[in-house]
Amino acid sequence: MNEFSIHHGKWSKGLLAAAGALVKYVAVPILLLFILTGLLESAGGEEFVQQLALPELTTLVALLGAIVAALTFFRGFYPMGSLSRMAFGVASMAAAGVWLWTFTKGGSIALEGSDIALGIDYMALVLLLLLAVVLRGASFVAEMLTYRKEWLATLS
Amino acid sequence: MRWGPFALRAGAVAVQLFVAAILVLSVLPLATGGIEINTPNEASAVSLQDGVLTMGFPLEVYNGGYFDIDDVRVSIAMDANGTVLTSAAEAMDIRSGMVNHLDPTFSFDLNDIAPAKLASMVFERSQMVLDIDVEGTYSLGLVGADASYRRTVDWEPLVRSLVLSPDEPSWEENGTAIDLLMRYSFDASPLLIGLETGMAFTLIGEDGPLGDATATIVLAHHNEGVVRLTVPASMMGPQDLMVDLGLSVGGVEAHIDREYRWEGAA
Repeated sequence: MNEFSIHHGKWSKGLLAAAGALVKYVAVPILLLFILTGLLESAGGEEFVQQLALPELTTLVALLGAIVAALTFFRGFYPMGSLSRMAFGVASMAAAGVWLWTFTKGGSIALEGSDIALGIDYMALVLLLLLAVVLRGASFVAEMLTYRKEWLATLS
Repeated sequence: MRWGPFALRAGAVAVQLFVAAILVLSVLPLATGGIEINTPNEASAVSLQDGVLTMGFPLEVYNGGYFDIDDVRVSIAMDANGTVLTSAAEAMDIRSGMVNHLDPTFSFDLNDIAPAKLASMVFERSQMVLDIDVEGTYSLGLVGADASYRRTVDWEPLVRSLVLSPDEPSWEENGTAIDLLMRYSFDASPLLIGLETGMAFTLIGEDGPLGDATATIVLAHHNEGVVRLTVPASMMGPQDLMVDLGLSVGGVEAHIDREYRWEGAA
């Protein structure tokens, strides 16, 4: 029995999950980064845009977000109780963790002006969000264990 | 309802909502002008004692946010003519929803400054570079911030308009010596007013020290007087003189020289 066979899944569910992930991990963050860049540049903060590497961050967030969306597609594609859904669910959350760390710039930012330097440390908040990602990933393992018998029963 | 997966997902959502609430409640007041700081234009010098200059910076901080700004620490590094003096105020808390009256004080040991550079601080106007560092935590300690900025301030001399006049008003014969009457005058910084000050005058000729005198006064805004320097009669001839004034106040001692042409006691 190949639990990763495409015959077990539903394309509509996969596409729906991927669409949600694209909005959450690509569209909204890129929009926020564009707004932040625009605000900084209109306020004369082009130097801070460069220091925060916002253009590069936007590209990286889009790339990582696309990877999360791709993995989320397969997570939604496969049914509950299958090892394939669990595997892609955990993988998508791992990718989401990397995405989160990248988007939040590792939990700290440092800005320097001509006579002023500013550092903000929000690592604690980032760690809390990573905890949420871990809980979400663990939920896919719990889901597989919970629905395993039902899934195997559908195969027989 | 399968409670295992549900509980884990609910936990994840709860954590995310908590973080979102923290962010909204933290950022919104700051973005809408919820922080106001009123500072004086200059520091209020508090005292000079045992060589330690203590300065206060009273300020009012209105924190319109929902969270206290905790453990606020302010430190200052003062570049005094090449010597860096550092001081840190005690940690302060800025309570939310109210105007906080803060009075951080900073102490600098002026005896750490080399004598030559200390003299320029006492007698000369100069510019001083202050590196100010402020750090604190916000949002229940989940967010920390550290801001540093550099400010150049004008340093007013502690002793201004110093005049030493060895050739007036007069001199007097005193056996085989002569008494040189040296008039002095200077203005003192408000920081020094009321402090007892010791002044040591040394008259140095081309061949070495000729005489000395001391005076002790309680400083006022304007100070003037006459000291009597007894010097050998051989000094009666014209020569170049140097007067060294050693000023000792508040545990700080600084020296300054003045050069004069003495035309003789004829």
